[in-house]
Amino acid sequence: MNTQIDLKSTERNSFKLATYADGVNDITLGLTMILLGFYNFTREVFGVAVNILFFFAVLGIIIGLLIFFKSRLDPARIGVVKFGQAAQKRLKVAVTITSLLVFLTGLTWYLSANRYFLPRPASPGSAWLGTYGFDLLIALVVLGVFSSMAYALDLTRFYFYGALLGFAFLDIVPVSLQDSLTQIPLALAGLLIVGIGVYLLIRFLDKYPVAEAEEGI
Amino acid sequence: MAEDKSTPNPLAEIDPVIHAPSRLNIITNLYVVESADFIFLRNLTGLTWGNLSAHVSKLVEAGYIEVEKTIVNKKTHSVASLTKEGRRAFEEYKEKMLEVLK
Repeated sequence: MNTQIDLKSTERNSFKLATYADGVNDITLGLTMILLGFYNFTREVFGVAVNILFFFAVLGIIIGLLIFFKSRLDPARIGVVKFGQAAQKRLKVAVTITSLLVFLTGLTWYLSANRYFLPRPASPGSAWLGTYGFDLLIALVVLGVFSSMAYALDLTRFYFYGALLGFAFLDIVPVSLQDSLTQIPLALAGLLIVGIGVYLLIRFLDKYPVAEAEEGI
Repeated sequence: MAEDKSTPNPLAEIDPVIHAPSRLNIITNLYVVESADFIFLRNLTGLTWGNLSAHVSKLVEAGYIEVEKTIVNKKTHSVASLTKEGRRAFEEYKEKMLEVLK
């Protein structure tokens, strides 16, 4: 019998239940990736300047709607928890690092999508590296970000998201496809993540019905 | 038969209020957060409303947790948090249990 009271695990379970059990974060992530996946396509439709506005407007709507749904869903079903100062501090550090990494990944993606990183003329010794080296670097960064989150939060599916998005990013530097189609793998990866999020949401709604009144209390 | 007082039984020093599995479950979950409402506690501990209510009452009586009740949408909403005494008692309990089991 394990006689240890694992406080870290208890805290992590509370955090997972309060934050990731409903699948809403997965749906947000997936929809954001779908939006990124169609970035080049909408740019061709709207033009560069309008497309940037369109992108941030849709992103804002996605995040706003999902925060609204989360605030409606969670309190009545799983309740409300306030984490201690130490946990909140750790959370802030984690959010800051993740935001920074996501920003760097997004910037890299943006520069790649706009052909700032076209494959260089290959020398005989570095042909493969010249063509795929940068893609591989992006893929490893994406995998690293998601793996760190998966490890820190004990969320196995984030390893899968890292691998999935890493593979999707591998195809992002235009090689042979038309510009508007080069990011389709990213959109497909996003669609799969939305699917997982919807599955988690359905399971969440089934497992945590709206709590009845506090009987006998 | 006279009791041997030279070797105190460490088990006798274990706090029975915390030692009950359901109450230990509640107090451990409250130890890692600042506060949690009863819905959250019920989901984490897997206790029924009745059991949760009974065990919370005992912990309140012992002065280990405090409960703040408000009315939200005509329903009672209770939020529990560990008192300083409860936090200290739980830390002491952990040390005592480690002594007993080493």
